[in-house]
Amino acid sequence: MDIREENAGSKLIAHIEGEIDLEKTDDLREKISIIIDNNSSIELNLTKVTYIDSSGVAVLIESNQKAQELEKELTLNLSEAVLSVLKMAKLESFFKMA
Amino acid sequence: MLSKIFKAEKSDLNYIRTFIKDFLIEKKIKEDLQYQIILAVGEAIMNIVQHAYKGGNASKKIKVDLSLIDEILILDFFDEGIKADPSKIKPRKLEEIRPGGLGTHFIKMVMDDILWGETKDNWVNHLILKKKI
Repeated sequence: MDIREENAGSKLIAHIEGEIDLEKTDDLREKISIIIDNNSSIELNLTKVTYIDSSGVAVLIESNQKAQELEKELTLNLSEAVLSVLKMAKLESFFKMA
Repeated sequence: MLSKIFKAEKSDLNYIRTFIKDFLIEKKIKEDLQYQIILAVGEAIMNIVQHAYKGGNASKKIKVDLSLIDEILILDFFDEGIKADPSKIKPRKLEEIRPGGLGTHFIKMVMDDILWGETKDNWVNHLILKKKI
């Protein structure tokens, strides 16, 4: 799993690729948390994520909750793989989509 | 039947999923169903690493048996970790939006049967997942 940051005007886009599973989530949680701390508008581009499990979904929920608490804007751009998992968890409307 | 033993640690989760995905591809299972089964299996093996092995133990093993009999996919998982209590393994309510508790929901949503089988040799837990293909 790779994360690449792109400054797009006032927004920071974090491009996340590969598979998100329990092995990767500690690192992902920490990196997204730092990104939220340092930016007011963040897009998580997950369009190249090919697999996400419940530990990855938990990171997205935590990140969304943190952004709301800090009054930051967090949006998601999803791959079909991620969207299908969020739909299974009935979470697709919990997140703001890019 | 196809069988393989893996290390009981996070870094082997991907290898287990790949092992099962290759089996599903060989059996010509449709791609969308493959993804759902891999998701359910991923949750099951993650639970084994997280709970039976308290986050992982490279000196311990997970054995995976795969078979497709009369259009029923059967996945057997054996571990030598802490004895599971099936009565305590329950999905959380989906309306309670919080991190955690979704894995069991995914497994129940995808698989037709979730069973605990007899153990043999030195294995402590034997989880069986079945899916009509």
